[in-house]
Amino acid sequence: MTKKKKVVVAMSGGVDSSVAAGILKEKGYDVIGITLQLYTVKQEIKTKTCCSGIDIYDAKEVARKLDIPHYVLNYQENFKKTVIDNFINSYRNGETPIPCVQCNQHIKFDDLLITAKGLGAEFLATGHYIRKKKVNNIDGLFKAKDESKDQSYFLFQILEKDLDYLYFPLGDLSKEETRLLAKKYEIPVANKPESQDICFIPYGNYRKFLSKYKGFKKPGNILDTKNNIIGKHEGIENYTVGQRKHINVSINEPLYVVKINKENNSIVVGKKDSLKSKQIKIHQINWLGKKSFLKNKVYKNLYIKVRARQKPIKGTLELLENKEGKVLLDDYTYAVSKGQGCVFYDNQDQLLGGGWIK
Amino acid sequence: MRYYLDYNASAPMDERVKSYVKEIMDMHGNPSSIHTKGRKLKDLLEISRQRIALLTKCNQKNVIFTSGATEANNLALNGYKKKIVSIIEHESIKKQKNTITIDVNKEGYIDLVMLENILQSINKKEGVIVSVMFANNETGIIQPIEKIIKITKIYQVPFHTDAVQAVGRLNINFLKLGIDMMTISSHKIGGPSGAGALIVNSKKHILKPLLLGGDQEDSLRSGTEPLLAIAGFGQAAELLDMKKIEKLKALRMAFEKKLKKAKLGIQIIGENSNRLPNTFLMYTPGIKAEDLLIALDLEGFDVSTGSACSSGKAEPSMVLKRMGYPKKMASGVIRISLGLYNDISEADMLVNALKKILKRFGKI
Repeated sequence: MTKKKKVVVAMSGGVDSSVAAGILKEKGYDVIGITLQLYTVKQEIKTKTCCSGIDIYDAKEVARKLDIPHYVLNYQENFKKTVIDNFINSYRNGETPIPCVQCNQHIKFDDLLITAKGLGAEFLATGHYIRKKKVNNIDGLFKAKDESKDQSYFLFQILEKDLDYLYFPLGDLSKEETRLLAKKYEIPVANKPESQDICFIPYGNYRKFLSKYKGFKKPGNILDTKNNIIGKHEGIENYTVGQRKHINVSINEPLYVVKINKENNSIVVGKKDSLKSKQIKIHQINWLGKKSFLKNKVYKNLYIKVRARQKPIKGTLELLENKEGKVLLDDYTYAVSKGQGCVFYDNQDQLLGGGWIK
Repeated sequence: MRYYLDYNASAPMDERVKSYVKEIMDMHGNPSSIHTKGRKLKDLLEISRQRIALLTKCNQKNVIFTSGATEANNLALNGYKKKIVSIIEHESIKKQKNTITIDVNKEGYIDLVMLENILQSINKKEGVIVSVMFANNETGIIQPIEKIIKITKIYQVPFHTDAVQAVGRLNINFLKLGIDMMTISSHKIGGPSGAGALIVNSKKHILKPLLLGGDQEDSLRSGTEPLLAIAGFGQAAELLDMKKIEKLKALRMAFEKKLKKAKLGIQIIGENSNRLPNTFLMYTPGIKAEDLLIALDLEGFDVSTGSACSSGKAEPSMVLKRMGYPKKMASGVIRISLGLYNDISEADMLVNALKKILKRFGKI
């Protein structure tokens, strides 16, 4: 009797990861479901519940339906350290963070990966929409077939050494196909709405969330691009580069946030034109493409995204010391924000890596 | 093949308990009814009470049946205004209002001086109760019950003990020890879940019922008695063979010896403390308890981290933290609790599984 291959699936209790588990089960794997408890939702009633979250319950119900073992791992401490604290600090520094990338980087594809290996699994699978394919016999990551669902941007920090161990069963599916499979597997969450917000922020209200921490709500000046004070703001955390709302300064033309200065607690606003840029400095570059790249200094004809929902723009990456780099876009882009990812693809939609915008 | 090493969570039901309960399933009626069927069931209820009394060495009248130990603990403390409790109690005690906690030392015993100081500092002793568990569910460490009782007697405050893990594993003489109230549970001694009891030596204690209704159980626990569970509880008590259970100590020690010799750095918590014959808490360096628990489950071993909650998430051991161990150790302990169906070959299997798991986790 050949032993079935073991695979660990990260199950969030949502449709996608539930279907991922279902697909693997159908393919004949020995599937183990794991749900990560990342934070505690404060309930309306005052008691701090032992295990919060309807999502954990949902994941358990899906696992029961699929007849696979399911476990909950408590990663709250690590999530706080690597994701939430980083999110808060990022806003303190006038940046616009993307916590999902850090969660993928430090939680799912680090701690959970170690556990999956320890449990004897041959793969760690997730419900991300991204494809893994071999190119010249080397594993590579590619945009999802359904580009509207593509999550490759959020996965640019996956390490090349881990690729061999990862499995993304949804990369070739559209959301519609996923939902159909959910119905086919009789997954109880088939009609659950998609989560849009940052998971640990209740009701998507990040300002209210931040207000519980020190160092926010510091009033400061709103400057124009010539450094004239033209108004007051209630804290730099309320602004993101490119934002139009909440500026409260009226001139004839619409104004946008063009810069956030942590040093003097000011924001700079200007016309749309002053938002555009071609040069971007990045750090902590992670490379997933051909290894030989790292010997080169310059990489041309990359397709580059500076935010999740954006059409890639062609450009060049120049590699500097200490995993830092300079990106020069062929065309102007608008509202490049510190703290977001700058992610590279080739002309075949292969995810080549990325870095954090400085 | 599965290996059940989690008797402290729940012990398997004896076949004879099952067949006894099955027999009673055919007898319908309500023990409170006056007619023949009702009286027959009432008899069975009292037989169970007798059997529990025999096991714990108390009078039949001392036994108040409840739905389980959580309810019994709540009933015991419900009427008291000030509850002096150890810091390692079960949640049903820990979550009570108006508690004062007594620390435990590294050996796992409560601080008797602190207990005395607390009692001394309270002028009005009315409405004060002391509650300390007989033996800890995670470590198996047995508290110095006689010494505690001596102190509570001096200060004339009632003493309650949660003896859920101790009953059926130790010979307990409720009346001789001078315990005022004691909580016990059915499914920890091989009975069905859904039954427990509070044993009370005198009606002078402040007992405030949690449920109001038909005044069953001397008005302390209203509601139709769950006779199937209670009868099974009594039958399990009747069948307990303490001589066999005492022999579990040798098995436990053999397990501990094999685990320590496996060169995995395993430590037994409270090794030199006075412990239950069947329980040990082990620390395995280099691996989180939750990872180890899952990995062992997948290898066929049912073990526990001692404080898993209802959703199945493992938490660092609160008991170990309270004993003053660093958090890292508290996050790396699993509990093994043995019973009559275990044997020493399972220790070898466990050692092999641990080696395999630690290797995969890159620790050896």
